[in-house]
Amino acid sequence: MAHGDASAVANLYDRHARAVYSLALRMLADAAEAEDVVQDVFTQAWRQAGLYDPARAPVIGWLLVITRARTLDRLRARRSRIALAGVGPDPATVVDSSPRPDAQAIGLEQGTRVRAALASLSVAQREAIELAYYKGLSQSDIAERLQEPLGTIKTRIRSGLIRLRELLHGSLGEQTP
Amino acid sequence: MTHDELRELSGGYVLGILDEPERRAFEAHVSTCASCAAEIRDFTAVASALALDVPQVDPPASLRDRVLRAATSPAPRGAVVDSIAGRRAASEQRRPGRERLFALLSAAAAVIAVALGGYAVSLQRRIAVLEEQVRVASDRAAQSQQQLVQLRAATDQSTQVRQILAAGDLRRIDLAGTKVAPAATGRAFWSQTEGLVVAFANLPATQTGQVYQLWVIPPGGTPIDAGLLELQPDGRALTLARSGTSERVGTVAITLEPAGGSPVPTLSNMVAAGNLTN
Repeated sequence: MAHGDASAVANLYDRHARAVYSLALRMLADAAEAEDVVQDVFTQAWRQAGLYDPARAPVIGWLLVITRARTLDRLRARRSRIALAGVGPDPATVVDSSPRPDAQAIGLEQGTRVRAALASLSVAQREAIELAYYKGLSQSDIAERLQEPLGTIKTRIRSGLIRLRELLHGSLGEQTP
Repeated sequence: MTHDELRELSGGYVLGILDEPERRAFEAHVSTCASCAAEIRDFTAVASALALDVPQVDPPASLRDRVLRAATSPAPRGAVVDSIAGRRAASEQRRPGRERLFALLSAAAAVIAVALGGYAVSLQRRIAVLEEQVRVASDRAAQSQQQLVQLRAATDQSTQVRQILAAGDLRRIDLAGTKVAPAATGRAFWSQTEGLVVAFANLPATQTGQVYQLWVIPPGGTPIDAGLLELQPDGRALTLARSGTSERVGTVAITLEPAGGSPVPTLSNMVAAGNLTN
């Protein structure tokens, strides 16, 4: 996508807005804020298109890296607002219980495999990895949140990732370009 | 920190949740540790797969126009503010005498104030654009840093292999497959001073949740965990024994172990082994 080509950004939006929106919505649990993230991501993608190197990663991977970074900005801002106000539940502790409909737009096969792999982790491993990935909490924050020793959390995150790596072996790197 | 303590940081590193001192310590370590570098390369792919594990929801249809308009509009300018200031100054000019002078002066002040306001607004926009560029640049720098660390580890590995193969005290150990994998072969090259490198061929594919683990057994000693193998799809693997594990070598072997490896080898799962002959 060349900078200044408005039809390219429309094309990009049509192919990937769903994945970007879904990740932001999962992380923020707030539709209006997730829409703002979509706008931030595509604005940034359009302005920074010259920096994107298609040889390095599929464009969806690049967009999702931006999506997670922009969403974590918002989550951290939200957490510091709440810390200042000193009231209300910390959004990081709000458990996501939304159903998981079938992935359609992107990587149906892979989405299903990832889901199956995550489902096979122990509850404790999954909880720690989800707080780290989707909420961007530091390992010590997670330890405090789950009332476990820091070392336990570190081990749990690493062993969970090892397990996922084994389960997903061979299916990674096949993302939709 | 010990190797194991540093290795515990690999997950947090890939997920981007380490604090600054931890991140620096881990990066310094991983630039000299091939197994940790391989681990973060794999974990990076795993972490990006997590982005796909979310319920897929269509954004509202109205969002498309909003995003496309915002994404492709050039940054607006202070033109509107300036034209309001101009109109106000012109109307002030029609008043007579001292009043007119006063009006002119205050109009001039208003123009300056508005111009300054416009300048502030344009500065603010410029800052917003720069902030965005800094954010993007730091995202990219973090990605590049990870790739650099991996590359450096790969380079270190080949340097180390070269040093072993060029060592004056180089010894060769042939490994043969066991009943489990009769076709498997391996060849270890060992230098007491430079280390141990082992190349395998015809290794059977691992089952889900299994890994090959390398063991170095000193003469008359107990097996030492020398690291996990990275198996290629064609059944080959090239691995360096973890540093500090190969000062004394009697036997080199690999076993199949549960994901993450075991502290002691599961002997019934031995896949290939060979002894140093004199």
